[in-house]
Amino acid sequence: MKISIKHIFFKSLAIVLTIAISHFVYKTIYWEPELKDQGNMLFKLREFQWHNDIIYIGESSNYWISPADEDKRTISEMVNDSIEGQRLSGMQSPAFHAGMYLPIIENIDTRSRVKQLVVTMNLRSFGQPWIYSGSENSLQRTKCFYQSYAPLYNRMCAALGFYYNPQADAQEKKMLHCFEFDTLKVDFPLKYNTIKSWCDVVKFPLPDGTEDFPKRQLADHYIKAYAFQIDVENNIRIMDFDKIVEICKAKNIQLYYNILGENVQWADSLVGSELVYFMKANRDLLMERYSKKGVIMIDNLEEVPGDYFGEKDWTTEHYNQYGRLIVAKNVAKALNKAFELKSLKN
Amino acid sequence: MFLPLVFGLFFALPHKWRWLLILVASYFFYGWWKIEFLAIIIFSTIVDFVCAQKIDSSNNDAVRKRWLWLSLSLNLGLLFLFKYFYFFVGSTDWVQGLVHPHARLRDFVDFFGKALPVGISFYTFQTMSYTLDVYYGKAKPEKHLGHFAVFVSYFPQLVAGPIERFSHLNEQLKKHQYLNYKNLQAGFRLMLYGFFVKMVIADNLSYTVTSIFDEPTKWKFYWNIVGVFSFSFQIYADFFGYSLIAQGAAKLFGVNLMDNFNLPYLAHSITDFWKKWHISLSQWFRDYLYIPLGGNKVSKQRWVFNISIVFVLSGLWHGANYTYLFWGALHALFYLIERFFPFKIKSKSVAQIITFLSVSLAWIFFRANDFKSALAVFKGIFNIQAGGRQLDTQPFVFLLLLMFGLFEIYRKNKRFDHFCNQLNAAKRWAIYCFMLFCILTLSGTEYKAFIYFKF
Repeated sequence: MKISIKHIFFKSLAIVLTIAISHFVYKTIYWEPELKDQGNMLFKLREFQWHNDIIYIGESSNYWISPADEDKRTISEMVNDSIEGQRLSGMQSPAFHAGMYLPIIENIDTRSRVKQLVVTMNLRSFGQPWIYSGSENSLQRTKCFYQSYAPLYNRMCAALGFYYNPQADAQEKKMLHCFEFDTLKVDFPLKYNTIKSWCDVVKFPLPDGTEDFPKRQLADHYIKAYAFQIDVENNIRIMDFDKIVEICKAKNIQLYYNILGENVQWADSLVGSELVYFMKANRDLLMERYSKKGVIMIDNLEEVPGDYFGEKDWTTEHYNQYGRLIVAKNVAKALNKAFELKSLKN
Repeated sequence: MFLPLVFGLFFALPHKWRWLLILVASYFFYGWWKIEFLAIIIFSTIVDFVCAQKIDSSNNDAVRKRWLWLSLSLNLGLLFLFKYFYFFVGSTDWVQGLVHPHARLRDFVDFFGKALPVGISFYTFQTMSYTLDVYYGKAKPEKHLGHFAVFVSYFPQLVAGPIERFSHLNEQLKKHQYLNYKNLQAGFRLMLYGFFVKMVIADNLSYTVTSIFDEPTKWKFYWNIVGVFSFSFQIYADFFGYSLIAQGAAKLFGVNLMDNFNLPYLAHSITDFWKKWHISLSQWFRDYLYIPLGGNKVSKQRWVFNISIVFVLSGLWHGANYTYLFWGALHALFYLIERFFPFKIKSKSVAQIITFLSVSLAWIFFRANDFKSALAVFKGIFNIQAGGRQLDTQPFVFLLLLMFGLFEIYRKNKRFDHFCNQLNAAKRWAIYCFMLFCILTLSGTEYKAFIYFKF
């Protein structure tokens, strides 16, 4: 068969035209509904950034409401009601972490009204169970829709699996390896130097000689969730939060990191002060690191009493209305303070 | 990136080194899933290579038989260990009770519950067919271990077939191939159609199927019917799409893989269906199990036994679950009813509809996670009185399915690339552009692995 240049030209033109038409049709008809469904935070951002001075980005802690709550407002709504002279809206998605916030923040238009950004900093998200979580795969797929490329390209990345696609069993293996071999180094005597050895010694004997299994299981969760030391050189969350700082600087946005309240009381009563030590040490490290980088840090770690946590059989940051209000007040205080200072300067 | 790279290197290398490239590429492709499982495929390759040589070199029938049994038992042993051991033995209370106090032993047993090497059923059957062919004198053994290893692990068809015969594939793999425009054209056409069928038809149907099969009692009865038929088309489109992509990829290198499907849902009987569905597997069971068991040249009772065993084993081939076993048994039952039914259906269309309904009914057990869910789907179909919710599906999915069905009927049994040859350039390119448009804008947004990869 004879293949001429003309032949190749027309075929290539047909392919290019098909791609161009597909992109036009997709962007005009399908993109918006698909983004609403698959990349909801970007969908919201596209509207919010033109009507808000501040955006609050978070995970399930922002929208979780206890069935017994009379005040059904989310943390971000409470913050918005407590700040003066500024408007704030919240965006959230379950299990999101800094790696997921990053592409969303990259999408903030520098011409938009947004000049301040509150980003949720969840202490657990620095630990192995979250880093090697089984849900990472679906999060990475969602991330495709947040990329700053052409929408059709983002869609194809999701459809063809062109994204970091960790297998659940491989993730679990890595997590278990960390539990067994990552050593905890402290300057006081600690009987156990890994998460595994720590979990092995925690016991809750009952008078009849058996063990209180639910309590034991919960204690295990607490140890796995909080008994770690952030390695600033290698921890992937640190890298993500660092990048967020850089992006916000480039976009001239004042950044706030909101360290969420954890159930320190339960951690103390279930496992002991040694676990609380790790929680506080990690908090202190984050406060110091990011304050130096110009981020306004909001510390809620020990602010929420144990009774204000909605779920007591798991390690979450799901608060009842009183817990949400405490966090919201602290965020609003920081925002108001910055606003007053700015007003004074002006 | 993998395919273009291998393709480029293949035609850049001199012929004598190409087998090595394909072998390295195939092992890389397989090792990508889990590198440890490469050991199994290499072991299987060496076993069959040695056994076939020994069979061929001996004139003593007892010796030949011994080597054949060694090959079969090692291959089937591996298959059993990795695919069935945990389900039928390891997970039983007795074994779990036995190994529970010994952590290492427990981990060893549990390992087989988690580890399923991708495509093990496909390549095990392919290597076994080689040894059997050598034993029956249908093929001469391959003298070069490397060439034989390429036959076992050839990457386009490694993980989900078609299960090729040695006599068909090996000569093509060894042949000096030249960069050929016609092969490229055919390869790209097949792959384009394969991606269209998989991404636009199968992946879009997956939402309906998953919703129905995960919660069968939640929906109005007619959605259960839609769900069952959707699965019939989803599994066809998924597996047919894969086979097209495999054929297309192999064609780029000048290799013709066999057709695995021939409009199976237009079959007018269960017998006919099995001549059109997963042809390479049906032929395998026919040639290496049904005929050696005596085929139809036996008593009626024995024949019924032969048919039942073939169908049940073909069900079990898909996986370690009683639902697959039941699916196979159901097909055996339909086959036998068809054979012994005193009245023959004269209208071909009625026969086609009855066959399609029977096959779809059997798919319920194939798709469901367990018997309970299968029965719930089945009950849901007839639960007309019960309430239930409407399923939020996209009508365009069913419109595309209708178009796909009509297109399949229109192109009859001509392979897509051959069908395209009959059209003028404008019509051909209109089809290509339409398919590309659908893949880009209307495919499912979630990456879904091919269903048959898990077998």
